Order: sequence, then C-alpha cells, then structure tokens
Amino acid sequence: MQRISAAVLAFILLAGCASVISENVLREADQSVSFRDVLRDPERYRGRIVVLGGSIIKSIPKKNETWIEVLQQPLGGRLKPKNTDISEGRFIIKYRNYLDPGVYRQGRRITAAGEVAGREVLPLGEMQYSYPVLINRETHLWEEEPAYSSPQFMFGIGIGI
Amino acid sequence: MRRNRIFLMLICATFLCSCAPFSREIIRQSDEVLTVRDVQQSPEKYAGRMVLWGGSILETINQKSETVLRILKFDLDMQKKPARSDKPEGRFEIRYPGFLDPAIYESGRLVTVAGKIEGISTALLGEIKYGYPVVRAVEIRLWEKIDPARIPPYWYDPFWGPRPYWDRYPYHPFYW
Repeated sequence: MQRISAAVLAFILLAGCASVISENVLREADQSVSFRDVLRDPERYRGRIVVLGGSIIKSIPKKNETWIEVLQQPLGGRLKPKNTDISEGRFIIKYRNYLDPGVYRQGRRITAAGEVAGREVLPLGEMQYSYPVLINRETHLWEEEPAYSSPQFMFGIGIGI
Repeated sequence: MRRNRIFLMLICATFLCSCAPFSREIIRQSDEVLTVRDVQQSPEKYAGRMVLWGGSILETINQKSETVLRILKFDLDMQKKPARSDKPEGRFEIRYPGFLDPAIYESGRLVTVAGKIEGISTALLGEIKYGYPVVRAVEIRLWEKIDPARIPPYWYDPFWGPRPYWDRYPYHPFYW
C-alpha cells in the first residue's frame, strides 16, 4: 500500500516538473553553452543543440519557412522563460513550416531546442543587430497568463432568446 | 418513465436552440465543415457557398464603403462560438457592408460570421502572400469579452494560499 502511494506521489511530482522539451532532444543539447556564448560567436557553436527561450518579438512567415525573433530570457522551472527584464539579447528561431503570426504573436513566451546555425544581421531601428540563429528541433509555446486569476471551473445555466 | 424522457428531451432541445445565436435557417444553409484550404485551392468551386465560420480578430480595416475583418479561424463549439487554439486552421476575411468600429471589433475578440464565400483576397503576411478566403457577411456575432472586473468573487478563494489544506482549517472562515 505504502509502496503504491509512494509511486503515485513520485509520479505526480515528476509529472508536475516534466520538462516541455522531450528527453531525447535534451540529451543531445549542450547545457554548457550559454546564450551569451552563442550571441558572441555563433559560428563557433554551429551545429550544437542548445535550449533557449524568451518572449516573441515578431514572427515572419517566409517562403517555405518561418522566422521567429525572440527576446532571450533566462529559463526557470520546466524550462519556462522567466517573466523578467533580464535579457542577454535577441535570437531567431527558423522553422521549416508555416507558423501563423496570430498564434506566435508578440509577447508570448517560447522555449526551443535547436541547432545553432550562424547569424542573421537585420536592421533594428537605425542600427544593425546580429541575431544568432537556431534551426528548430522542438518548441514549446507557453500559454498566455491572464492578468487576473481566471476561473478554473465555470458552471452556468441560461436561456437566451 | 416515458414522460420523464420526453421532458428531458424537451429541456435539451430548449437549451440547444437557445444557445446558438444564429437563426436555424442560416445554420441549416451554411457549411461549417468547409476549410480555409478548400477555398484557397479552388475558390471558384466554392464561390457563393454559405459558411458559418469563426475565429479571433487579427485586424480591422475600415475602407470607404465596407469594413474588412481579418480573422484567425478556429473550430466552433456547440454555441457556434469559436474555441481558441494554438493550431488554427488558417485565416480568412470578413467583408461587412458598412462601418464596424475598430475600437469594438478589436484584435483578439472572437466573432462568428454567417456569410457567402466570395473568392480570395491576397495580402502580404511577413514575406509571403497569404490568400484570405473572403466571406461576405450576412450575420455577424461578436462574442462578449471576459471582463476581469466582472468575474464574481466567489470564483477565487481569498484564503487560498501556498499552505496545504490541512493547515488552512483553523484560519479559514468557512471551515472546510
């Protein structure tokens, strides 16, 4: 009996902490490479798998691919980007399919495991910004958090005319 | 027993009818299954077809004689209300002959439209050209937004906290 409850407890704990990126991909990822390293010299880390996250700045559908510009934020529990102004910079995730900018919209948080693939230099205001590029391996788009605590259960009866 | 069942059916029917904001006639006429892709692939084939589509507003464009709503299309629930999702089926355009105020029809709000397919309108999206199926509106339903100020307080318990429930007992006014 005790063993079962321990197993159940362990399961709940594990499920609660489960990472949003699958274990296979995480195993490939190089945890020793920080975003700062990649930002400074993306060429040096070309081909490595890294896990990065942040909030979406812009999604750009292109012919046969989509680019998502992300403001990097440190990852917290379950690899969720923290809601903070601390950021080391920006990066781009490239996808080989169409993603709708209405879903991958500005402000939503995203965590992605991807392969470092050099850089893209794009205008930002009046300067040129050098974005490190990831080719997507696996992505998790986080639910938006409403400003208020939304009801978890709703029950209603109504008659409309 | 028999009476009971009839009564139950009656209640169900009342609920089902009263929930849908569109007339039965329109619902009967319109196609809910037709997809954005179907229309994109053969717009001529589906021109004139009545559809009942819905989604969330991406953009409201006021033109001289009409209003264009660009919509991210979601599936409809039983009430014909769009169900938000991160896997939308695509985009489409509602064209409404008249003025719809963009301060009301603002980005993010849910609408359901009954209308006729009119073809494809192409617009730039990022760096691609997206073909929006055009729906000429016959009836539009704008869904109420959930106003945080109007959520009744009984939905959250002010005594809810990080402490486990057995710890809460003596401090909680309702003793549960």
